[in-house]
Amino acid sequence: MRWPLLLLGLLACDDGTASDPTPDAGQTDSASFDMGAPTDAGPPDAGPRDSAPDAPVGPDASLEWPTEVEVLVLVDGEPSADTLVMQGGTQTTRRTDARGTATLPIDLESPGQVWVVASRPDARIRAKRVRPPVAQPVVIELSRFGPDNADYFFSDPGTPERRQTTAQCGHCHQTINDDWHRSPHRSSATNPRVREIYGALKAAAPGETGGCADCHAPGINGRLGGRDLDEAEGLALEAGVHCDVCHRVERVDLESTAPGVAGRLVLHRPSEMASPSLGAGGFLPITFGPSHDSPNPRMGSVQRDHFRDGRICAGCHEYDQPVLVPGAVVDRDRWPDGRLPVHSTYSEWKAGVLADSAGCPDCHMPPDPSVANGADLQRFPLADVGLPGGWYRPPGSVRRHQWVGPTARWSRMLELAAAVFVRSEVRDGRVHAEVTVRNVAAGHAIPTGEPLRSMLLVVDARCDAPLPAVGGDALPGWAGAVAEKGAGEDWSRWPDAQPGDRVRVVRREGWHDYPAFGAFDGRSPEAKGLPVTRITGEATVVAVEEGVARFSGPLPEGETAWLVRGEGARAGAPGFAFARVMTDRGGRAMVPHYLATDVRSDNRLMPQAAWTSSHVFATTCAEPEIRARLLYRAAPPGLGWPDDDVLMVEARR
Amino acid sequence: MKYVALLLCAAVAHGQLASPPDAEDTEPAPDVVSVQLRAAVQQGDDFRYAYNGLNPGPVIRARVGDTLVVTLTNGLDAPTTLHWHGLAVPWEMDGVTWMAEPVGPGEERVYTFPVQRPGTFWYHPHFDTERQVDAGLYGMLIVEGPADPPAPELLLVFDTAAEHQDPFPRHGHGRATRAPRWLVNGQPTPATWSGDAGENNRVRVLNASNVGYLAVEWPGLYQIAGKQGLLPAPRSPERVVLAPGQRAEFEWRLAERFTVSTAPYSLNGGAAHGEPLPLLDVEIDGEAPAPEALAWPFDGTAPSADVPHTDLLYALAGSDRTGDWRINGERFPDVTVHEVDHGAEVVFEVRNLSPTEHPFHLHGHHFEVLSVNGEPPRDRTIADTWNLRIRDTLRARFIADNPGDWMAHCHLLPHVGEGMMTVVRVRAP
Repeated sequence: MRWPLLLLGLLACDDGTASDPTPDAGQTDSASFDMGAPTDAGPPDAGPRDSAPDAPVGPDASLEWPTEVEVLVLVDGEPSADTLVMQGGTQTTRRTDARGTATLPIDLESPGQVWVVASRPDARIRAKRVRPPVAQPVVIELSRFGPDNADYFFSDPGTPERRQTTAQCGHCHQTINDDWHRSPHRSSATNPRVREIYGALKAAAPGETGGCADCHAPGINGRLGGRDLDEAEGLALEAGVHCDVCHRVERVDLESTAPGVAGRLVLHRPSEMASPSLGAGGFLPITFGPSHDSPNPRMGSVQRDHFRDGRICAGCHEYDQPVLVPGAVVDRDRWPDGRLPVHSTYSEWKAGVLADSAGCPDCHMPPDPSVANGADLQRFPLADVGLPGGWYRPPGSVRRHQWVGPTARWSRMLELAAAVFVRSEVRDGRVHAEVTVRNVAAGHAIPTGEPLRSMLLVVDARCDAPLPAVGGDALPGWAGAVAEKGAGEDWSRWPDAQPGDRVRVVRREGWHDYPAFGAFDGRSPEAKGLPVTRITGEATVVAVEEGVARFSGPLPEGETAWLVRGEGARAGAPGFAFARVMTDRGGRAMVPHYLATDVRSDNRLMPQAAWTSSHVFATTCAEPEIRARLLYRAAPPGLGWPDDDVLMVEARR
Repeated sequence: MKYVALLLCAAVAHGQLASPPDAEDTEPAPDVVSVQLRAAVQQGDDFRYAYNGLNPGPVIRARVGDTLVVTLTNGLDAPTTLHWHGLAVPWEMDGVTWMAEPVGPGEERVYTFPVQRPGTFWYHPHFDTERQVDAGLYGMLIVEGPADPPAPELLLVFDTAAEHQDPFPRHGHGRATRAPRWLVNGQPTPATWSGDAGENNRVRVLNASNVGYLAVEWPGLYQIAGKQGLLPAPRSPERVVLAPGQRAEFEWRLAERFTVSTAPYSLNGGAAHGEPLPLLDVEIDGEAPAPEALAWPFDGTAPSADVPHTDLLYALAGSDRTGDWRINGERFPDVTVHEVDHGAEVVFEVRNLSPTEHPFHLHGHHFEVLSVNGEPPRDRTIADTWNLRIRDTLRARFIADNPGDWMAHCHLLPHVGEGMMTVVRVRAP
């Protein structure tokens, strides 16, 4: 018999409430949660099946099922209007009228038991099983849930190696737990770079927390928001952004300027005692999620759309930061509210062409058709299909919890995001190339997120051998140089030079008027802050004596010269750079945001936006090949992080 | 009846399942095939429309080099058109209403064009497409090649019933509540077909479903042709995925009974949980060993090398949550028309950043697959409809030798109506 197994399973899947069920738990309330015993909705049918089928089967077709049922929903004993009702496991929904009633069609082809579910935003979802002859109306009683509870301790998501008990979410949600465990969300608080930057922030701005913990360690118990990342320990440290934080988000406050759990993510932690008679039976669970038909009392589910449309991501992937450096002054003409845009992925998406089409989960949480249910029902063949275990959901209903992005190289997200197109013509012994970079696939700007990120377009040309660049756009100084000299400096002295190094020379020709986003939209080209930087030429260092370099030829004239060495030092090379350039009070570009006092420019490519750069090479053949590579750089050189540039896409013509 | 294959086809049409009947060729000239199609309303559990009263519609057969003349009479209560899926026809014959009027109720239109490539194709409306195809307006179109070995044929046209009108949506992109209800040649599955032991059958398969994916499998699967005719070499994969609009051909060398099934496969990411669905039980009459394979003129052509540049790029995006599906951020008909020169070799790339798979279909041309996710195909692969899995990148090339405005779209028909279509213009010579 499966029935005892089910009961055992349910008891095992509780935190103590099932051993002392209360009306709020709904487990003995015939008008709500039903384990298969007779209810006022009608006598039992054949009852629980004796054998466990390999695949879910539908209701007993030998019974006389109604085509529809009348449903009455009560909340705290009163009729519950505008409440969603549905048959669990289907997608047909109805809304109750002012009397709390609705007529719901019954789909007998849907696999599993027939349960009627009621869902409203301020109460835990509940369900009732129906079987012929159905006494109508089917009554479902809901209870409004209580307030947030600062005394709640976040629970353990578990790990693939440690989820033996039902105390861990991963005990049932194994696939999701596996995904999450491999994801950057899990290591948000332990990421060495996060820790390094946080340490530097505390050194530079004693007493500041920077809001870091509010997103990187949102599961610190107790007061929400304004916490020190160094307070994170145990789960808050090791689990980072985990199940019990995200699925406690009741509301996303997009008007709040405070990041994460400090403001934008409004959490609701369990507050009602599950076993008041025992006094220490834990709290009644409450879990916010995407589904209306998730009535298992072990979850205490409440549906929220912000899991479906991705608004929850705005809690952390959108942040304007005040200037943190003590004594630093922000230019109020440029930043009237004194805040600098640091993370704007959500607003980039919102302003982009895909905002009405696809949300964050559509790209970053693709469906997983191999999973039958968020709780991996397909792994537990003994589980009944119906309320206790959930439903076999159609393939693809369950989303991966991997949040793929640039750090998940295997996901190919970097390769998919942008395209490069090359056009060229030869005239007067030179090849003139135009290279267009387009954000073809990302729903937000590229690059996005951490402002240390950049995209570098690197262009070269060759016949039988590489051709020298004699004009066109150049990569900026922050693309990497050993040393820089401006006009008026002695360009013969390069104390750090070594033979084989090169000195690239550029001149300035005004400002680019790039299509801008956010605060830069509508500014003058000068205020957009992206100088037109043209190549004049380069020379190779052949010898260095007492700091004076000898070159392979005369240095071309120009306004800025960069000494470069190796592949990664790309300043002055033919190409173009795309980044949100944050500067410190000394004007140094691409600094970590805790040091920033200004955003100089932001020419990142919005969805479907394109930018065409031009490049000129002296050619020795009639049909030189132009190669354009778009590289992703996670952080600028100089931070001591040994990242290689990652090739996103390459075109040759 | 002009062709031996027709007789053979009729000969194997025994057992419970039969191939759809051929359309009558009313033209005596040997190199012209003239067919009458009447689209009309009918009473039926699964289909409300039919061509010539048949679901699927009659099979149109021609030979390479023939001129096809199809007279469509619209007996429907709505405008309609005829589109020739997979065939490179003149643009004014393509059945799209981008720059042409549909055929109104009670009206008649003659479609005429030469057929140039052998293969298994199909016809269906390209107006009100999701509803009309779902209602039953489609049929197979076969172009026979001069080197085809004679063989009895079985034609299998699969469809999922009543996707558009079902009050419990089955095509809900992951929230469909039930497994699709497959029909084969208009009959419920699993159907039964009987063949003679020792017989060698050419089996042409079409997935005419709006959104249902087939992942057909049976013991000893032996594929000989794809969407655009004979493969360079035969294949024996464990199963063949046929997205909506795709076709394939197989050889059945009959000796023992077997079952054709479709493995669990979802447009929401491919291989899915669940059990295989039996589609067709193949019964064997008599006893004889399996015959030798037929002598198909496989040419072993290697794929063309990929090239390091791209002329056209299509990025697919959207969501079942919004029902808004786009190409390059644009929603048809408000699209950028990309123009290419007549005669140019056009290299295009399709990237799928959406949460579902998409069978990408190009009108007016066939294309050669250069690579998928950077990997070249094993053999030269010619297609008109290519299924992109989630996060796939397809690179392909076509010769822009057919002037006109050509649709490029996802062949999940709800996606077409919800915007996932664009236009490539081949300039006049």
